[in-house]
Amino acid sequence: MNHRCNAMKNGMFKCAGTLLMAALLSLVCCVESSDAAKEIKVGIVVGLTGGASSMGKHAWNSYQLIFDELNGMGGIKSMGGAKVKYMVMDHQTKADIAGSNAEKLIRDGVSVIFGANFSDAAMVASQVCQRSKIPFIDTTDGDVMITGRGFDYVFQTNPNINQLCDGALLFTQWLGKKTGKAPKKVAILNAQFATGYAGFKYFEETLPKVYDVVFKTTYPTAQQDFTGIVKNMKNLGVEYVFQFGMVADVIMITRAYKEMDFNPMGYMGVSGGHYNIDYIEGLRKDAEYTFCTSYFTSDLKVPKIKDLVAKYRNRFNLDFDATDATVANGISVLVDALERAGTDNPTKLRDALKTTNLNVGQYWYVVPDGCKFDDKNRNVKQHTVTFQVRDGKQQAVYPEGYGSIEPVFPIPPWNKR
Amino acid sequence: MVRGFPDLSGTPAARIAMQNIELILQGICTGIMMGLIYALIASGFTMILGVMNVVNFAHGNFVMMGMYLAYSLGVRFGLDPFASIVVVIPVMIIFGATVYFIIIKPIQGQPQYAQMIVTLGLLYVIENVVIWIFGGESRTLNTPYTTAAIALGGVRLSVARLLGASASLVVLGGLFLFLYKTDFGRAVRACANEPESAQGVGINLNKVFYTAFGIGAAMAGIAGCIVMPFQVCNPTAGIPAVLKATVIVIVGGFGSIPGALFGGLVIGIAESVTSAIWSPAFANVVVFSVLILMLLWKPSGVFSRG
Repeated sequence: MNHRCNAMKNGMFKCAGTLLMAALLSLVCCVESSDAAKEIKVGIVVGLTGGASSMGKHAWNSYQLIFDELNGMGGIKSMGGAKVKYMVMDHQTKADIAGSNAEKLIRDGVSVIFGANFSDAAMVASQVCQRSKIPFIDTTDGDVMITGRGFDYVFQTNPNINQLCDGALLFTQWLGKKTGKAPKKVAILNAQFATGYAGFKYFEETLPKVYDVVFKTTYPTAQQDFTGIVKNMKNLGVEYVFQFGMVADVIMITRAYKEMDFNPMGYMGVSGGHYNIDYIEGLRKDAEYTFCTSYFTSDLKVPKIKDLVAKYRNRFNLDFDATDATVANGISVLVDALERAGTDNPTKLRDALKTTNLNVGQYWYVVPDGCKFDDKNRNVKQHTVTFQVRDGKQQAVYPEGYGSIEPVFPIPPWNKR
Repeated sequence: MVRGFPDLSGTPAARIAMQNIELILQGICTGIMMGLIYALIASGFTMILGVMNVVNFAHGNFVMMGMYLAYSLGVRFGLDPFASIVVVIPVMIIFGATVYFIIIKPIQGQPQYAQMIVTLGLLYVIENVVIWIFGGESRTLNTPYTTAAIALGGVRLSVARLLGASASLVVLGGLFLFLYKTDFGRAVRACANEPESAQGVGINLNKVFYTAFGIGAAMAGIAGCIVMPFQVCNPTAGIPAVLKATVIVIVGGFGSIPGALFGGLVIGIAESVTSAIWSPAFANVVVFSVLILMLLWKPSGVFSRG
């Protein structure tokens, strides 16, 4: 009897032990799987050194600010509060390094890569991502070929150069209707650099459908004298100028306008040099009334901007600029896709990204009207933003309803400023 | 109006013809002003080449240093770029002489490619030091005359360029007098023509070399100050300057100050007129075509010593 009892006891202990072991094992497994769910690896490839480092450093600040805020707010809710673990790599403003950066991040197990604040680098890094079937979200670069190669894992949340040109044209037409003073004779000036060429080519096709393009020229980026160009435009009665340039060129062109007493109804830059803050600092009062179509200004009437600008300034003692805004938009697109997908599986994430339909003000999206991708993964919902330099600041005048001031058009002649 | 001929002055054709004439005149006037400034940049380059037989690829960055010095003096002390020349000359002479002792002297007599590599290295060292100190941003100095112009009929002359061209002419004149009317200048020329003979008659070659390198650097520094009121300064501003200086020296003649003046004017006018009547994109095509033609016709330049 005792023997049977002992045998029963032993059997029960064994059974209980097995059950306990099984319970412990399943607990460990649970802990492991829940730990795994609480971390989404995100790669960032930006230029922290080299020529694009100024933008790259801004972008990196923005990634830190917003991912930290996301993690602080409880992470991705549909994934049980999974936190984002972000890893940055410096492409040194070199395309080949961007490629090896992307390869390293993919080896480290990232589910998605952001980049690259330098079109050449984005071209290479996105190619690596496509090959490895990892989504690549380009937040800032304007090259049409980033999404123009038919890569289904590559997304461009920011307007490309053609979309910027369309934005500049739409604004100018709107300006004409609004003021009843539409320009007729226009000119196109272009510095010889890759994005400028692409925009110039696009304008050569689109502008003649609307305006009489009486003068167009390209010039080397080291051009030191613009009086000949301006004299030509003056002789031909140019009323409005569309420009693509680096900051040094466009400063000298505006100086030449004043020097040659050239008084068109208006002149506008398509992003590039006119957007650079050095344009206003270099020209001071002579920068007034310049128009520029770009991605963002911090005075846009959009929810959450003031809060974001203040947080950014507190943490980095810098102004929240267009690069930061594009990163905020890009992260918003990812968070939205993760919430909908409920997983960081790259293929499912790619599918969720494809069906993005995000509005301005959702998450950290700060540029109207938000994001929706077309069949080539280009954002067709976001407007370009046009500002006019007024009182030494970039002040949004378009899209209508989001601008903080009314545009002055035609701009006053030099002798009446 | 000439008697017996109809008055066509108000017709569209006459207006267009007048505008074209004004355009060419504008190009010529701007070309002369820019050409004189280019000549000043090339003078230091050609002097170093003529005296020491060193092709100093960092010369353009000496110009860029002059721009940054003028910018710093302007921002910190409110000094006009032309006034800052007084400070820039001694600074650049000392800098040039130091560069000579540390970098150029050890490689003198070495094959020319070694000198070229060393001066190319110097170019990148200067560029990166400037990026380290000032950052990569573009810098401008706004003066009361930066965008001022004098109207002569339909032609407008930039006051800043006019002042720069006048100052260049004065400095080039001073350099010419120094080289041709002073004993030390004669010694410099003697070293350029016959270094062994010059040493034989007791001229201290070393002293001539470091002084010439210092003066060459100072010429570049002055040019940097002169262009600062109307140019934008950035760490890469030196490369176009040295390219232009090289073309001017090939056109004008190695080691010749009048050659630099001639070459500067040819290149300045060719560039500005092409920009005005054709396209700025073709200005370099014309400039480098002039260079190729000169190399085919007279490789040693118009004012060469033979």
